[in-house]
Amino acid sequence: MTQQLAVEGVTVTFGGITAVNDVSFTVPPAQVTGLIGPNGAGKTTTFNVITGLQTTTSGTVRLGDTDLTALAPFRRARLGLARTFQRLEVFGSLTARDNVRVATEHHRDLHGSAPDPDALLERVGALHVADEQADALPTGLARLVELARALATEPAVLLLDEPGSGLGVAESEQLGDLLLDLAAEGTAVLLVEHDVELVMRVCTGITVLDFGTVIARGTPAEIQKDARVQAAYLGAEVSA
Amino acid sequence: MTTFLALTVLGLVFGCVYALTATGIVVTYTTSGVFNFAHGATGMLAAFTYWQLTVGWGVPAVLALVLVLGVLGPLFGAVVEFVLIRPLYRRSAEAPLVATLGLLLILIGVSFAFWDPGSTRRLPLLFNGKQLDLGVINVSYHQIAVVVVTLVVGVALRLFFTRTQLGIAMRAVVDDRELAAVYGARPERVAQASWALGSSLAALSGVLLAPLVDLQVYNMTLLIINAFAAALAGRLKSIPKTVVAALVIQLGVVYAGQYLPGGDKLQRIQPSLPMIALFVIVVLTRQDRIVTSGVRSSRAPRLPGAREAAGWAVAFVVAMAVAAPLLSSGTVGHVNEALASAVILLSLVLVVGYGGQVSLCQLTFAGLSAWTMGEVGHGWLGVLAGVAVATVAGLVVALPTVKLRGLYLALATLAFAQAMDGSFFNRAFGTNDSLAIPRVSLPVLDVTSDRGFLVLSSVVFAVAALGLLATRRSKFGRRLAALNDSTAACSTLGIDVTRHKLGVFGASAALAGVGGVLYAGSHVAVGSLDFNLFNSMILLLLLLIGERTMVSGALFSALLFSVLLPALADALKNAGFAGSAAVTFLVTGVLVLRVARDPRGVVGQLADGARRLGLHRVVPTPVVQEAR
Repeated sequence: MTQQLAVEGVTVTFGGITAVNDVSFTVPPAQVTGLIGPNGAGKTTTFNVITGLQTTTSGTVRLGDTDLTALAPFRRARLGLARTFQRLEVFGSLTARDNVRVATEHHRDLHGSAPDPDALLERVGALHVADEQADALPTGLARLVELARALATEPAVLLLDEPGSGLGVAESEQLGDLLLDLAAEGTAVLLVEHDVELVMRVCTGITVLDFGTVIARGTPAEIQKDARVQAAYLGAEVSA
Repeated sequence: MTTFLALTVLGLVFGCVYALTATGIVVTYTTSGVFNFAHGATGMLAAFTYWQLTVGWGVPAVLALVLVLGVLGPLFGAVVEFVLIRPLYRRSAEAPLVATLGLLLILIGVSFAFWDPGSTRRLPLLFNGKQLDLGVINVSYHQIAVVVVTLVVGVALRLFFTRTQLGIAMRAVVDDRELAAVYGARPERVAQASWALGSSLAALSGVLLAPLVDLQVYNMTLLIINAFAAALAGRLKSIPKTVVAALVIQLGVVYAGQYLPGGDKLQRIQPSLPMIALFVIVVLTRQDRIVTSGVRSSRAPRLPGAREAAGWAVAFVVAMAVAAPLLSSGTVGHVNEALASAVILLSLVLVVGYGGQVSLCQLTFAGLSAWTMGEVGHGWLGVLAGVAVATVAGLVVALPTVKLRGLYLALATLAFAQAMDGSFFNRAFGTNDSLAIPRVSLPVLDVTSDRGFLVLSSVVFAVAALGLLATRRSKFGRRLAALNDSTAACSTLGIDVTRHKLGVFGASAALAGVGGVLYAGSHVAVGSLDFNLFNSMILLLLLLIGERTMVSGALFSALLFSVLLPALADALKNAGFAGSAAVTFLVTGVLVLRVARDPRGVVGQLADGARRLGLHRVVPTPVVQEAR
């Protein structure tokens, strides 16, 4: 549970367009690391590269001493990576509880034990919808179900793609508490999030992407002051 | 040398016909995004229409050609696009697949209804069969016409796509449908024009091909399906690549017939080479990455509890045992076949309903099992061997196709079914003769009588159904539902998607094998026609009509397939209707068009209705939804 995830010089090109360009950063255990940037900066592509859903043009992804770059997504997951999705990927035909159960049952098959699905749903604050079919859940709750499902694999590294979108202020605060708890338990958390308050509150280190390139990295305080970051976000706002 | 030249001419001529066909498929696919499974049947129907006009009614050949290629062909394509395809553009990827498979069956049904399949027909070669003496070999004017027409069509299409407004609009729609619409092209109209053009090309290849082969419904349809390989080799995009592929494949086929080493044994695969090519091309070029797809909900019914299901199973077997002595011997035969079909349909529930895959070769697994049992001989060893062979065949198909989905999985399984039919089943079962396959013997039940066999069949069905329901309730079943909803999420949870897909295909093939053994037992003797591609297609579509996710859907579809539709055909036959063979094709084809618009089957909708009225607890969840 104490392995560091390292992304080293990753570049991804789609038919001549470079989505991610020579990106490097680390996600140390026992802390929440932020990955932020305007829309289209390459955050989700980076997530896909880390979890194996997207192949790299060059660069490596490492977990501790293990090179993950050539491994299939399920092998990476078995080594301790888990994620949620920006565009929801809940199992729509199953209940919230069965969404988590699919993951716990599989984890038990592999490791002999697994957390209780209801305990996980309670931990993320979604136990009250355990019996609801997942495709009928509001976005915010569905994201929490995805989070509970990811936690079912007891991951060393947890990658969260905008877990706070669709949540209210109070729920967002609870999510922040949960992320800090997870980090305190030793999990390496990588957080992509547009809710700046949440990011500044929970992250120890932040990497900022713009047009597929790392434009800044540092502590939340440093990032807030960084002129390039402000320009990138302002530029994004102007163009939006 | 003479032989080589003659073969080359033959290969080029057939290659040209397939180039025309495949070009039609590509033109339609690129502009409308729909792969037309009925393309072969369209060519077949055009050839029959041309025969009717010229041979049947004595219309001069030139006038008939103008009518078929210039009027009926394009009109047919335009109407099909407007009525059948246009309403489906924004629906799931499955909808056009189902619609064009349905159309394929309808066209075969129409041909059977109008042209008695019992009679033989021949179309004369163009130019009255005149030949040109080239010294070493003779070439018929018809053959020359085929090559010339292909060249002319090739040049004409090139000019059409580069010089005419409509052609350029078609290319624009291919590149970006929405953008083309913004710039004033009307994607629907353009797609309609492309369907008209595609249908004309199918008609042209049908008319050119028919005089060179037997004018038979299956024969013509399947021959034109051979062009699928060329269309796929052109990646359904490039017309030049498609044409070259058609020529290469057909030259390969004719040379293989003459020069393939290994004597008779290897030569047997020659007729299946285009299908083997199709399988290989699909597998090599169409492996999908795992992609995210947004929230999807596969259609999974809420299941009856284990006890409730067991109660139904016992009641079913008791009812059948009580009914067996009361039924006429003819009915017992039909019910026996229905129960065997129902077991094969359950295997489709597993792979299609639960697994979210598609299979057009389920009867191939059943046939392999029946044949193996016949070879191994009496008793349970034969049954075990049959089921084992079916399972291995299932895994052999699944292994290379594990990353294929939808259209491409349908094409790969179609290719497998047709290749097995063309090079193995025809010979193994005998083309016309049937292979006698003994029934197993049981200590407690006399299954040599049809009524005893009916009891055995209902027990097997009930056990298979209970097994299937237990699977759906198990963690494997939950995992299947999850895989069906999001492969991406499953893989990031550490679930080995490949292994599960192999498992589903293997288990499903095994169950189809059990059904095959029962089917052979119900008929006592079987032939290759029992297990051909078209019957696999019909069974799959009937299951969609019934309900793919429910055991009762499989039973409903089996009753249609083995009892109700044959009874309707018999009644029509007795009333003097020569085309009674059309019934199953027409009814299945027409009914499945409904499924293209609403994936719920009849039984599923009834269960939904019963739930709304508070009558029943076993209910399916809402229809497939895809977040965009």
